[in-house]
Amino acid sequence: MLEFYSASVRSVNSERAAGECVEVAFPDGVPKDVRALLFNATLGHKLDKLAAAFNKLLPNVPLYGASGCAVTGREGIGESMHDIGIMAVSGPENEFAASSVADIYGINSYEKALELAQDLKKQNGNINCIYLLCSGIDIDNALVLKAFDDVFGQEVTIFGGTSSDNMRGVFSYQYHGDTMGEHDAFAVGFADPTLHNITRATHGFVAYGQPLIATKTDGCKILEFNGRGAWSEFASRLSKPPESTCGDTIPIGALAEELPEEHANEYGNKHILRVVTKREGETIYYPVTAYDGMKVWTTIRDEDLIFSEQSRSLEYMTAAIGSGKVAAVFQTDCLARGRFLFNRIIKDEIISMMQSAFSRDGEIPPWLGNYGFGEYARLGGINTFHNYSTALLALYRK
Amino acid sequence: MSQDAKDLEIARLNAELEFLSDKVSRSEVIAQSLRDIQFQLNSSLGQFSRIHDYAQRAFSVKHERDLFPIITEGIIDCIQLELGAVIRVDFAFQTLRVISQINWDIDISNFALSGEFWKTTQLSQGKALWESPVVSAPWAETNLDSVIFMPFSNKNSTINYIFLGGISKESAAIYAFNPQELLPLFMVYCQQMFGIIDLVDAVSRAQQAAKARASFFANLSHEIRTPMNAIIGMVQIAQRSSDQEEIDRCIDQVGMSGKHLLGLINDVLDISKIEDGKFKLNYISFDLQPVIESIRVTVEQLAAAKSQELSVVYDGVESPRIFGDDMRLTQVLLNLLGNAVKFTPEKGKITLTISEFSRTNTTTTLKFSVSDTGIGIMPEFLARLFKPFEQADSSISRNFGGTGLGLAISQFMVELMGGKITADSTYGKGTTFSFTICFDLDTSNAAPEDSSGAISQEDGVLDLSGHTILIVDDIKINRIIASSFLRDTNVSIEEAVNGAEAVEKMLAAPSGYYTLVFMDVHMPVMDGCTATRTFRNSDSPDALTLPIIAMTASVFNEDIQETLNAGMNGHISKPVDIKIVRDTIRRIVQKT
Repeated sequence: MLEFYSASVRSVNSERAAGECVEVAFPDGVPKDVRALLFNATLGHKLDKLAAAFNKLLPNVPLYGASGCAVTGREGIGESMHDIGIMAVSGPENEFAASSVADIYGINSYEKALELAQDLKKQNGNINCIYLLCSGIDIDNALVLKAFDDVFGQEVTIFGGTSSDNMRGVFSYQYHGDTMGEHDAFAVGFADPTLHNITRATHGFVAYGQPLIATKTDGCKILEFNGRGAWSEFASRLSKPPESTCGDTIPIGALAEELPEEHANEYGNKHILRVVTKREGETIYYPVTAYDGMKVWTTIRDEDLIFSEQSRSLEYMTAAIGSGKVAAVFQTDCLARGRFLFNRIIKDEIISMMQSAFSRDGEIPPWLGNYGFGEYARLGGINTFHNYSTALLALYRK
Repeated sequence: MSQDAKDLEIARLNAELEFLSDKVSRSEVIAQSLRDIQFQLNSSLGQFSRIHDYAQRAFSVKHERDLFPIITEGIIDCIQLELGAVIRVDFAFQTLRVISQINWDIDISNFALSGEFWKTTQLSQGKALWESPVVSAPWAETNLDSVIFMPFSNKNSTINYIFLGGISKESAAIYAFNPQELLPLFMVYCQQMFGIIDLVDAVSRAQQAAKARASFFANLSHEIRTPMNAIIGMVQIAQRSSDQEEIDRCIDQVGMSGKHLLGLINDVLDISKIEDGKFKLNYISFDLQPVIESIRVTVEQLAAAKSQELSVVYDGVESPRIFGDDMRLTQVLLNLLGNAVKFTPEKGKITLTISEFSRTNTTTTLKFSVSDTGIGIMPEFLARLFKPFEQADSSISRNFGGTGLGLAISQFMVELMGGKITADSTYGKGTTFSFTICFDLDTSNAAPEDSSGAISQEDGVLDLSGHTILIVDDIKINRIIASSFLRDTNVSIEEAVNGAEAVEKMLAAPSGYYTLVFMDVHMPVMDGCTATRTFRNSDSPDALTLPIIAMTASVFNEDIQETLNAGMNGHISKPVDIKIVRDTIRRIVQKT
């Protein structure tokens, strides 16, 4: 039976941050059967330095890390440049597996993800849910999920998301197998038969106006919108000059794709959102496969909708959990829902809303969250990539 | 509606939709700007709160050295920069030394202090400075892309430290370096920390002073017990001995130890006054040369005993009449020359040189140097030479004697006179102590003042036949000592054991009966000052003329002043010196 341990701290000193986290996460000492340590950190910490510190404290424990714009833990949200959060997993070897892959880009997303998924499955054929973390820039997340579905089948839950920087759209880091990469991915599979899972993603944006129509695409790249250079057209629609950067457009540039009606009802929104994290000249790097004729809309945020949808999402999850006990919660949030979009009070309120929903007798379950570029959560029974959303996975036992 | 009209309407509606969409996107841009402002405000509030937290942490440290890691951490955590450092300015080596740093990936910890940088920093007037991109020395030789720094000046306006925050070239894309936003916050942070450094420094100095005081008393106890041991031991030997030579040797030792003890007590009193801030100079007009000559005579005797050659050189100095404290100048020079005699082997040379450093119409700056060809001072000891009870090692005290307070007192006195004392020594070859003092010139034609209390070298026969002296003291041994000092003078001695009895005797005596009264101050029944005051206010024909001299162990300036205010005519400190007692009587008898 797998057990989970979490902690989060703010400290400018990487070694001290790692030490404090381990101390908080394991108040009764570190168990001998720790299978992996997942850690998220904001950009002031270098993942390899943190990993070196964790290595000293937890020798031989495989480390998997990701950069983000903010982290969350039981202790709440940390949005400084020096916050870290960890989640450790212990338990029998046959209930756990982990693998990683380097150099995954938009152009080879399926092949690399397939390699990753196959290696994971080779290690353990009983995996029933997977925490997946990919690079947040230049990646086709639709193909990544397809590869996993092709290997594990659609019924295996994929959750997690993509790493990021502090919304500048320049870097996103991953740590795995003693190396730090910018275009890598790792997957952690759980095969504990006593664990059930439920995921849900939600956003609160409303599409408006006429759609931008992709008129020239190449995989996950959009070269033109409406017959004109994609970036200029996109920036112009946001009332931004063409020399704007992704950092300028991410807070207001959520692009909306129409959802099939059956999914729209579950999602509470007719649209699923997409973020642009990279551009080269006029070419936009879209986070999923684009196609000619694809319609996307610009959006505005609706604060009431954000709260009501969050509430509805939590009701759905807690209803599913029922009297079960939550073993751990993984949260992936869009960085644009962090400090750049909400003030502290609203954000604390949202986090508090989530944590109290999964608490029992005032105790928040082990919790790890990352504010990255994108999120994985199921929608309509299908593993789906989201942007600008809050995605939650609760692992629970009945 | 016709197709054309429909198309027209559709086009109009599309145009309106586009117009409205544009408005929505513009409003979203404005909304985001407001959110950005809100974010900035929240961030600033958060940052000020962090500064408060770091200030509290800094307050809790006890030593300055423990502050720097906190300050460095705070630069990163409060200001949200990638790296932070505290840099010490080392004037001696003209370098900047990194004494605490976080996240600054540098191989070197010392930077050359360039003139241009220093000029800019000194002119910063307590403001933070920044550079982005970094192109100037000394930061240009590092991996910094942007830097913000602020110098910390101590109370003497000397820049001691520089607090630095920065962003490396490799992280420049991640961090925002906006000087307009950073400067005020960084300055607030630095000012907070500067204030705390000052406080911690003050606490640390107070703790050091307390420690020094404890150490001082520990040493003092040792220094007192050593001669006391000699005195008590020698007395016991003398008591059991029937050999007169041995008894005489014991008495000599008791005398020497007693004098050492007295010297120690006087030095301790000086130190005590210095520490209490009660030490004051007594400025009078005096001619320099007689004072120096008096010193020469005293030291010559000591030097002669070791066959040493003492020279006094007036290098272009005549004998200016100056305003100063001749007693304290004498004390300093006697101390330095006494040390020179002590630490110079037999047949060595000791030179006192007085030269004029500069002169104006109203002042003369004189340099006094005492050189010897003695054992010299080890370099490691030179730095702590002027600290109380510091002697190079315990053998110094055993071999050469001394309280270890003389140089500390000398340094203080020189500084009180506006000068600075320095020591220059080559171990094994000799030492030179120098100090420079600026004196006001006395350009009046008035005769120089007599410096009271100067010890007369005269100790001839004193015939006091026909004179009666009243000795007032509640301690019998004190009365015996005073009487014994005058045993050979044919004087008639009367005694009183307290002030009341003394008053009774003085009032009862016929006019002119007593030549002099030696009056103790602290006594039971009636103290000496009250007795004097009572007698001065009486109807006695001698009330205003009878000389009353305080003979007391109360030796502070204010004690002496109190006896004078009570109507006494002079003051002799205990333990009493036979010469002083006899000189005092001689002066009074001569006057009458």
